Amino acid sequence: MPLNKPNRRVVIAGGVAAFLPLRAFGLTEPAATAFVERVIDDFFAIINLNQSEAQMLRSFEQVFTPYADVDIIARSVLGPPYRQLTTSQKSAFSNAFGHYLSNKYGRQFREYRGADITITRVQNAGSKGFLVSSQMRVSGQSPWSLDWQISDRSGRTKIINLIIEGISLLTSEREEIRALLEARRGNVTELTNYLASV
Amino acid sequence: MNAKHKIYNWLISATLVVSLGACAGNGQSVAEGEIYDPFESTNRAIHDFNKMMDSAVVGPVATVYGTVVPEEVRMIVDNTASNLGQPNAFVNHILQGDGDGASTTLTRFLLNSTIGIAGLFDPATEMGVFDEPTDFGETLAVWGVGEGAYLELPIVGPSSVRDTVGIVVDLAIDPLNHVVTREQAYYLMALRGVNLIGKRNTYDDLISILLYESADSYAAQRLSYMQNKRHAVAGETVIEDLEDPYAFE
Repeated sequence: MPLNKPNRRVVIAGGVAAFLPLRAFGLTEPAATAFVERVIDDFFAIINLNQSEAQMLRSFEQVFTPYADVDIIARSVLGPPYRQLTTSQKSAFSNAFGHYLSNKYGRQFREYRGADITITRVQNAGSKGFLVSSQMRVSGQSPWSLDWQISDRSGRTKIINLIIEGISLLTSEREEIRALLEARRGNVTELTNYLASV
Repeated sequence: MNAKHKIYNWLISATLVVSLGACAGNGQSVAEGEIYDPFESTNRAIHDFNKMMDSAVVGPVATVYGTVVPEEVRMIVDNTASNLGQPNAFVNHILQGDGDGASTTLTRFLLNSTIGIAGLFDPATEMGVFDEPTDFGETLAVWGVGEGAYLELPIVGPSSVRDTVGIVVDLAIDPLNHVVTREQAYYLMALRGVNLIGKRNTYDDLISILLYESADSYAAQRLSYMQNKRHAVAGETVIEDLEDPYAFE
């Protein structure tokens, strides 16, 4: 087989080989757990502060945005219309969406003020990252299940999805963004302005 | 209720289960993770009605309830209603072959009915024996019956064909319904009604986000209900069902 003319199998094998070290030295179960522990500590440090909701949401956004893979979530949630956007429209949408997302989930997390949160399980989901399961316990109530789907495929370990009692952020936001976009007759600029304003 | 009535109830349940199995079989040409909603236009009309009822009656009554009735009393109502739901949950855990769920439920019922003074208090939760609610809809799921079409029921809210059959069967198999007198049955119904008002008050923020802040509250509620049910049936988030947000470029 001439070496300068690699066939498909060689290319695939090479591709896999190039990919392997990245996965092997990438995220591990203990690292995934440690990451989520840090996120939980930082989130709850803010949630448990005695602040007004508006103040809390502002501080929460500072912590939430760097921990979440906002670009990937924004892209996946908007779906096909994302492909039609210019680079600057993409980044404007992503920024506005990050702001909207942080506000929405900041408010949800505020519901669990004072909760005891424990990590119960970590699973490797392959190309879909890691699933770190946790339980939030508010005194006198049954625990709530909160799953963190995290991945380092963007280069740094980040949150790519949150699943609260089975309800996935990605799917519910996709539904919501679709409805918001529909109400604006498919105009992504209007949608971006709206998301930035909430 | 006499023996003849009991048999009659069981027959209705059995017929429903069988016919449901048949329905669920042919309607399920829906991809994994999708929601089958052939009755969407009817469901949406019922959704609008439910939302109207919520904003005009249930929501305001819940707010008054939350303001006027002291928290201790609301807790007692919640605990009592929850405790009286344990026998039915126990039966369903057994039908599901879930020994752990059954023993947890039994333990809770025994603890809360004794130390918890007939269920007024919930010492079980304080001791870490958490509620594991279940119903016949989940039993059917364990038996392999698919969820079938999504349904929004008047007043009751989001459901599915399977879970609606579950509601009817639960009425028939709930052991409590076989021991209470007719008068007690009315009190029980009233207690459960008041408790639903209490729940509406407790989860006001979450319900408001879902019903009044979503761009399409019907779709949002449908998704939340179905995903939450699937999670309850599986008992965990299944990693095979996770999505890969990187897949879309």
